Amino acid sequence: MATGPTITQAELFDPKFLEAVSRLRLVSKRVARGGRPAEQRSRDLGSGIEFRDFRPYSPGDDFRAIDWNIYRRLGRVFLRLFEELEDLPVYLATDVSDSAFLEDDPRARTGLRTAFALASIALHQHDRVGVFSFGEDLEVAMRPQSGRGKTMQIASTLSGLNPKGRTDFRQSFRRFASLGLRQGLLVVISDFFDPGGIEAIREALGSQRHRLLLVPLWRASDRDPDLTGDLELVDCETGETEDVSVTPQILEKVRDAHDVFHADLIRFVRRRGAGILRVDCDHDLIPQLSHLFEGGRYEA
Amino acid sequence: MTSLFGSTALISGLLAIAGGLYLLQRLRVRHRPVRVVSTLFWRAAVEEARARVLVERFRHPLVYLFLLAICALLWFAAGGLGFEDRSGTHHVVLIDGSQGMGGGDRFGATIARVEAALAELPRARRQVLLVGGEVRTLLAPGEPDRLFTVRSEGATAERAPSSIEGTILSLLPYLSSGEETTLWIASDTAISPELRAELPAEVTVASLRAPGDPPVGNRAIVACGVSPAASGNWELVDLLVEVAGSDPGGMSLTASLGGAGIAGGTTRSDSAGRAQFLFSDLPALGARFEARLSGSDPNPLDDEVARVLPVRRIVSVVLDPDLRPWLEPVLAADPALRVVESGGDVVVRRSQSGLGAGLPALEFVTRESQEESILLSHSGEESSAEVLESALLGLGLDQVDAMELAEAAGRPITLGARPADRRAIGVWEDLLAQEYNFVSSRSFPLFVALSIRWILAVEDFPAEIAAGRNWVDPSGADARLRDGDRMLDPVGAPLRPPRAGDYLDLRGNPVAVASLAPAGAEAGGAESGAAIIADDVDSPGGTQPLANLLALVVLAMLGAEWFFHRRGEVP
Repeated sequence: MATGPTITQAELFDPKFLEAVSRLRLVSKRVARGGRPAEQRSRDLGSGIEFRDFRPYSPGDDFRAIDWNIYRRLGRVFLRLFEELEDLPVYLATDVSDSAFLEDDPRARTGLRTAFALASIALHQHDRVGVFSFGEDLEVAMRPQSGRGKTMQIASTLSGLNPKGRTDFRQSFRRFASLGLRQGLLVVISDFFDPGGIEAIREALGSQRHRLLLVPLWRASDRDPDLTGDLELVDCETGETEDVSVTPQILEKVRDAHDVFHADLIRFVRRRGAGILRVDCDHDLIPQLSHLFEGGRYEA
Repeated sequence: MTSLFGSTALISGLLAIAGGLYLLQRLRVRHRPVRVVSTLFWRAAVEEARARVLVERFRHPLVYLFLLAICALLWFAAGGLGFEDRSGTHHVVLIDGSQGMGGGDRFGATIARVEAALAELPRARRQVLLVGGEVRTLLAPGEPDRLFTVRSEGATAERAPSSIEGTILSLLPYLSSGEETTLWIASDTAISPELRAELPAEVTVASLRAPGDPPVGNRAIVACGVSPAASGNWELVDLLVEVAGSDPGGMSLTASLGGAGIAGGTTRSDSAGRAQFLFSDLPALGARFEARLSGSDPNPLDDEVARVLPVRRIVSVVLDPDLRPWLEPVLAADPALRVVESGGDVVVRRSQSGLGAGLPALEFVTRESQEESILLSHSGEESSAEVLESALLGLGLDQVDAMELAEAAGRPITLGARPADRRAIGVWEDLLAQEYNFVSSRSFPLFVALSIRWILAVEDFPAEIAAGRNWVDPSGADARLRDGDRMLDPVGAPLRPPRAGDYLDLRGNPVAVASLAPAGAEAGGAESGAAIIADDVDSPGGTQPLANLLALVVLAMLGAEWFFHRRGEVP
């Protein structure tokens, strides 16, 4: 059930943001070796199918090849080098559930911008990019396509997405799996607030045959809610209510619950060999992405 | 600390507030709906909290304490909490409620004066007594001023003499406890220097007299007495009413007897401002006499008087012919007695005579038939001891020279008493003999007259029956009077009717009590209008109420609560 307002294209992709994405693309192009993945297969190790080696990440490297397990262990970003680079499609699954559109500065804004930025980079590397939106179910917003000219089409597609009710990872990614897409990188951009909890997320994403990059859209207030008093908390997606008298003890338990959830998510990512890129919705997106692509480090 | 409610009520109220707030704190709160992106983490937190408690926890303890503090301060402010004056002086206010305060609005002005002065007296150590016919507490120590206002409503000066001095005397044990005490006299009546001299050194006398002077030109009835008629007629009495005022020659009385108007009586006036109205030869038949000053004056309370006249009738005596030589002259000399041949009220006889069988008798008996020289037979309801005690005076036996009689008789002269069906007196007939000299003594007529009166229970009557003065039951019974539904019983002490009015004695006979103004009442309703003997007294520091300060603190706390509420730190 759509409950929130949509975000217009002008709001989402204002000139300042587009310019920032362009700079991000330039950063990603300053690659000593690489460029379009398909062009590197002759002499360089790339992100193909057969694994050969690791090497430190350099600005401009294909982020799809980042080994997130090594990053978590060592705190450094390494690439997994393969025998042959292939055209690895990028599937951007963006959360458009009601929760993404609820707040004054909706998370959907950051989520859609993240999707656009990643799509823009991939398209400029001649990769194929598919755009999907999910809430109660998953919809194909744009089938996988390549070509730099698709950038604005993706922008238009993303800005046309509407809220789609409650979050249901199981249903949405069962649907995604049923699409029979070629193996690629599945980027899940979401707040991950599935009423089914971490179990639903593990179940929905654990069975995917794609490589995974999870992009949690979080806010500091998720862990430290700025709420006081005697409240009837209404879940914006399910309508379920919870009577709470906010006390320091309750807030402590909320923090604990949040940390447990996040730890479970990290544990899942580690076990799945997936990547995770946590985006703070209260800060500018581009610096956060630049930090990853330019500095080769990302503080999770 | 002092309070309007008293410490017990203050603490009880505080506990009730604390309990009420506690219950309110435990009530289910009304939650404010807030939409959130997810209740995922909240649900986990709340379920964990719920699982750990059996009942809902006591919420917001600090807020509870804060609210309790605010409510407690408000309660204290409402309770008039204040710091008590530490000087330690006790204050006793005596308000004169006697008829002397009935002139103009003197009583009302005095009440107002006292009410204004209460604020200056420490609440815990002050008391106010209204001294009218009886002493009534208008304000006890620790009680708030408004109780005085309530209790003094409807209070008026009574038709009773001033008993301020008597009240002070009754307070002497309390005043002699060694504590500093100020007696505030709210009266136009003077306190005598002699009384002041009796008071302990710790006692200070001060005046709370109403401003202004009592109204002048008052006339007052100062005496009302009944006496046997000067004409000598046993069945008549004379009644004298004395009035004091500035114009005795112009005074007149309106009088009635048994409801029928009677002439104003003989009037006499003197230069001292007194006028006397003598009502002569009024029938002593128990009728009610009422008199009222004609015209009006500033104090109406002392303008009227009432008196129930005594009942007096001639006693018929059947006299034994054998006794005529000794007793006929005696009986003839007594105007209350009349000798008849038969059908009398009492018989005087020798014991051998069968005369007047069935009548109460004064018998002269042989020495052999009666051990006691004089034997009193009394009803079974009376105590022989009491009868003997009263007979000494009641029969004039104290006038008899018993020693001389004993010497003449050669044996002791004894007096005895015994219960019988009716009263009778037995006397040795030997005492009538010449050698005893009893018949020719001056005590013999008195003995005969009083004996016959005792046998028939003929009562004497008091000259004056007035409020504040001793009243004795003429029958000799315990002095008790019924005042409406209340029995005035002094329990052995002299009975003083508290105020003018109609009472009933123990036999149901009406007793009209007059209220006679003291000397000098004509000068304005009070004794001579003399200044009260008052010491130099500084106005004492009163209770210092904290209400204003508490209100300011509460205001500040409410402001703080609002501030914290806006910051979200207080729900």
